[in-house]
Amino acid sequence: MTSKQADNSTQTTVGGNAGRRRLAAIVAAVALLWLFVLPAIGQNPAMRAAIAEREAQGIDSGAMFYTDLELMDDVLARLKQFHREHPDALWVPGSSR
Amino acid sequence: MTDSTPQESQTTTEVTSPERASLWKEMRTRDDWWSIWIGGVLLAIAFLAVYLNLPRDFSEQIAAGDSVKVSSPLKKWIAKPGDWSSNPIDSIYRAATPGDADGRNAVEGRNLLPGLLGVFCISLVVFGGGIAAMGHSPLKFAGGFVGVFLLATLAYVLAGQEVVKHYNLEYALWALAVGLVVSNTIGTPEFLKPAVRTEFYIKTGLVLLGAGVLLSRLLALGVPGIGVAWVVTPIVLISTYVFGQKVLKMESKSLNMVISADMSVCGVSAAIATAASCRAKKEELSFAIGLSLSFTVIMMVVMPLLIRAMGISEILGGAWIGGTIDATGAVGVAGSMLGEQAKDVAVTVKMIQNILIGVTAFGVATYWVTFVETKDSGIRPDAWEIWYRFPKFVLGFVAASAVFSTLCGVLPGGDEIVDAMVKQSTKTLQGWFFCLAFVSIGLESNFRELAKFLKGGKPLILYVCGQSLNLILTLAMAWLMFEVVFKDSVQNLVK
Repeated sequence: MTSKQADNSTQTTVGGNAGRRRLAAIVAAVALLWLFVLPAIGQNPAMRAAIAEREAQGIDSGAMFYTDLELMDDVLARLKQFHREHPDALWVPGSSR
Repeated sequence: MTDSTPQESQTTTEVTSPERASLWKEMRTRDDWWSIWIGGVLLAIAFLAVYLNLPRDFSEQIAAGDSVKVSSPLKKWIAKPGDWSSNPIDSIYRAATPGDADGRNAVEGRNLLPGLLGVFCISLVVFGGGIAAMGHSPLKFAGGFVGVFLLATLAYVLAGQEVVKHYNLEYALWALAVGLVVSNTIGTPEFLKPAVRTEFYIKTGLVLLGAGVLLSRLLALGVPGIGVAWVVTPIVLISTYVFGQKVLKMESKSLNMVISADMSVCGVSAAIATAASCRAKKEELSFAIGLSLSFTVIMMVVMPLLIRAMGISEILGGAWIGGTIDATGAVGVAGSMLGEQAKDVAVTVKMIQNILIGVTAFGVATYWVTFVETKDSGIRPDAWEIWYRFPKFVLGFVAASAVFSTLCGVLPGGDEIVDAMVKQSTKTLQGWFFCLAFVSIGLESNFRELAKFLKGGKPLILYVCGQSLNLILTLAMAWLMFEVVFKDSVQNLVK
């Protein structure tokens, strides 16, 4: 879709004052959710414990790519060590026996 | 993806163009090429910043097998808003608190403002320069960029709330939502429009992403890892695409491809790369990402429970999770619900799958220009036609991957150097560029354009059927590799 088409379709849905009122309502709802509801959920002991555990483990739940995960450093270091000690282990079946 | 300007979109809809611009002219005027130049320059600066800052005895320490801390001097100047619990200002600035007498509850201070300003200036300079070179007004771009950047910052702050983050609701979703709210309420203000450059941001972000696609990591889990991530994944991707075309008869081939890729490879990042490679519509990318994130949240919770209920071992469960859940962060979370071993195997399998996106982007781009775009016209493309139509930024993406994979292999301590470069500078820039792109998509989209994809339910059926096949084949392959063929080696690995 070109920007021209997008502009046309967008223009059909927005209005001056009505649009501003809708935006204000959405901003108020987002503020309510993010400033009060979500922080309250975050104070739940079970949620607190789960979040703390993830942080301790170096897991970024919102990671999009493996480079976003802190824990990969340790995992890769362990794998490197394993391959040094058992060079054929994961290439030839039964080679680590 | 289809371009955002009428001039550019014209080039994507024509099957053949009677008059071709010279390669030199294209290199100076097309965002495909400019994304390569900008990405290349940023990667070179980021690499040199780390390399020239290495300790004097770095090579000796590496040769002696010592652990060496490598850092980038750019780190302080490149940042994104962090996480927060109750006060959103904490995401950018937070005073240190000492905690109680024995140091418990101490909070580390942070001031990310210099980093945010740094990213703003870098982005403004590189994209403004590219815009000027492509014949547009850099001043108008700069005026709009301030607004788009602020919206992107808001998206990052929304995504940084700890509960939101906990449920793997990535910044891409909030960036899209922020843009959609603006465009569907008050309408996208005129002054923002010159900075709404979805394609340019995405392509440049993808070139930077290429530096993290390190081929040596492909072999991290040897044959079992390749079996799960590199044998099953392409089979699922191709089967899902064919299923969408032959059985569901999906009208949009590009939507079919983007959903197949994000479901089978690695979620949002694969969706971005594939959408850009097959020139999917912006709304198709948005829809595919929404679909992927929705199922990711469900699978992140359900799969560990299912694995426990089925009595599957931690290792096999981890491999199954790593090969099937779309988003990398969610794989880590779901794996950790099963245990340490499952988590390590899951994130490693996912990492190997992450690396597949380079091949996927290249393969999809080649398939698209060779078969899909020319099919309706009946024209058999020759090599020049394929070259002309090929999305060139993919070459930048693949080249970045090849160069940094090589540097990792040939430089003493190459892994540490490239890791520091990616994690302390280019990864953050790449995230910002994607965030700017998703804000731009939102600013150009309409809720109704997104809602129409739900009609008939074909994309939903495609995802569910494709993911079902993925679950079955991945479990079978993981069982074969981790529990039968390499059982002893894997037991040694997890000791």
